[in-house]
Amino acid sequence: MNPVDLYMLAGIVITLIALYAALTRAHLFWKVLAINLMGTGVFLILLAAPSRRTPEIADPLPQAMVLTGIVVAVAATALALGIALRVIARSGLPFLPDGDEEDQGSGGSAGEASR
Amino acid sequence: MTALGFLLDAAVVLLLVGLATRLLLTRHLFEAIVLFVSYGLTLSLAWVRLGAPNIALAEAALGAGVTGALFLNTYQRLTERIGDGPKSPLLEDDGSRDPPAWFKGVLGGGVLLLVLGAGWALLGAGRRPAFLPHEIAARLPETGVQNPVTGVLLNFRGYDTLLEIAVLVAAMAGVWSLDRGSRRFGRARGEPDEDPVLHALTRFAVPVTVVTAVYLTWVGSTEPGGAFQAGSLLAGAGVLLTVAGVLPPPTAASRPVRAMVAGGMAGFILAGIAVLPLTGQFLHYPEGWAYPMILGIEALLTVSIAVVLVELFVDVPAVPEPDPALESVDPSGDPLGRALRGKEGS
Amino acid sequence: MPADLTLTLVMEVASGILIVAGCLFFLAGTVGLLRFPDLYCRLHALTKADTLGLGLIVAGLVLQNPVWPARLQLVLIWILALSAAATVCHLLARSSLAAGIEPIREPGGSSAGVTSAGEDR
Repeated sequence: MNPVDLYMLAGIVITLIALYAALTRAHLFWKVLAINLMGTGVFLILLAAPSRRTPEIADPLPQAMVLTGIVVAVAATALALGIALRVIARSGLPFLPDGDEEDQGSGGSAGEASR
Repeated sequence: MTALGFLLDAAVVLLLVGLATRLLLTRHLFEAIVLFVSYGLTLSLAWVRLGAPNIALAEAALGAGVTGALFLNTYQRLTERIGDGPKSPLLEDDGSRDPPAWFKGVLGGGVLLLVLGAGWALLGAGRRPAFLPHEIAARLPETGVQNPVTGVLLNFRGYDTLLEIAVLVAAMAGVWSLDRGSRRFGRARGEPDEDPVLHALTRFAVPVTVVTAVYLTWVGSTEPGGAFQAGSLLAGAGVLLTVAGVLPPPTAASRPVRAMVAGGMAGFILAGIAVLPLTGQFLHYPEGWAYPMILGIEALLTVSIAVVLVELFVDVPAVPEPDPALESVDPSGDPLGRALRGKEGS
Repeated sequence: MPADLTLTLVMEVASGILIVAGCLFFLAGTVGLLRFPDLYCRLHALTKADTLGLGLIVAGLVLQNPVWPARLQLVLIWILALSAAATVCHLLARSSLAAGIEPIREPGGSSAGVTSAGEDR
C-alpha cells in the first residue's frame, strides 16, 4: 500500500464519519463542524486520487478546486454559525425546532414553558 | 527514507482520523473547537505530504486559523450570555435531542457499507493514465504565469474563481443581513484594554504581514502563493488590528468596506467584459495581456478576500439579552429568557 | 575537495543534532502540557520549550540550506513565532488572572482556582 492510498482511505473514512455525525448529532454546532469535516474529507479524496494516477506530476486542477473549496467553506461556516446563533436567540436552544415546536412558535401558545 | 516517510504519512493519517472522530463524538463544545483547530493544522501537514503547498498555506490560515477563530468567537458569544453558571445545553450537548438508537445503528451500518464500497471503488479502480496534468503543463505558457495552480485558477478556470468570489460576497451579504445591530465586538467586559505587549506585537507583526501578503500575491504567478493565501494573511493582520483596538471593526454601513468587499468581484467581471471586443470571449485574455491582467485581478481579490474574512470574523452577532417585556408583547414570547431562567431555576 | 566534503559532513551532522535536540524540546513541552497541574505551569512549559525547540530546528535547517534568502526567511519565521507565542502566553495568563483563576502555590496542593470555570477540561 503506498502512502497516497493511506490519504485516500483517510479521506473516505473522515467524509463518512462526518456524514454520520452530521445526521446523528442534533446540536447545531456539531452539525456545522461535521459538514466542515466532510468537506475536508472530500478534499483529501480529490487530491489523493490524481496523485495515485500520475505520481510523477502534481495535478494543478484539483489543487485549484480544493483551494477555492477551502475559501467557500470558511464563508459557508460563518453564515451557518450566524444562522445557528439566531436560532439560539429565538428558541434558547441550539437545536433545529421539531415540528410541534414550530407550531408552538406560530400558533402562539406562549404559556408552553421551556423544555 | 521512504520507510520513514511512510511512517510519517501513517502517523498523520491516524492523527487525522483520530482527531476527527473524537471531535465529532465529544459532548463538550470547547474541546471540539480545540480539536478542530488541531485537525486543521494536521491536515495542512497532509497537504504538504501530498505535494500541495498552495493548499497547505490556505488550510493553515483559513481552515484552521480563521474557521477556528470563528468558532471561538461564537463560543465567546455564548459564554457571555450564559456566564460561568451550570452546564448549559448550548455548550455541553447531552445528546438528549439526538435521534434514537435504532436510527444511529442503521445509519452506522449504512456508513460502514459506504466506507467499504467507496474504498473498494476508489482504491481498487484501475489506474488509467491521466492526461490533464500533462496538458496543463504543456499549455501553461499561454496563461502568462508559471505557477500551474494560479494558471488554472485565473486563466483556464477563471469562471470558477469568479463564481467562488461571488459565493464569498453572497455569504457576506447573508451574514450582514443576519446581523440586526445586536453585535458587540472587542472589549465586551468593560475595561478599555491597553495591553502594551499586544500593541508591541501589533506594531511589529502587522507591517511584516502586509509585506508578506504583497509578496505572496506577487510571487503567486511563479511559486506557491496567490490571492487566497495573501488574502488570508492580510485578514490575519486585520483581525489582529481589530482585536488590539487599533482599527474599528468593519461594518456593513461603511461604504469603503462595502466597496472593498465588492471590488474583487467587480474588477473580475469588468476585466472579463473589457477583453470581449479584443478576443470575443468572456475572460479570454488577449495575448501578452494575461500576466498583467491576472496580477491586477489577484491584487483586487486579495483585498476583497481579506476584508470579507475580517468582517466574517468580527461579525458574529451577540446573542441578545433575554427580554421579559417580549412575553407580554410577542405571542411567541421570549424563549431564550425562558430557557435561561428555567435552567437557573432547576 | 576533501576539505569541502568534511565541511559538508560536519554541517550535516551539526544540523541533525540541532533538529533532534529541537524535537526533544517539543516533546518536553508536550509532556508538560499534558502533565502540569494548572494553566500557568502549562503555559510556561509550552511557550518556553516549544519556542526553543522551534529555534533549534530552524538553526538546523539554516545549516542545511545553502540559499541566503531562504535562511533569512527561516529566521524570520522563528522570530514571528517567538513573538506571537510570547504575546499569546502573556494574554492568556493575564486574562486568566483577571478572571480569577489562581495559580497553585505549592506542589501537589490544589487551590481555589482549579475548581473555577475557566479551567479547561
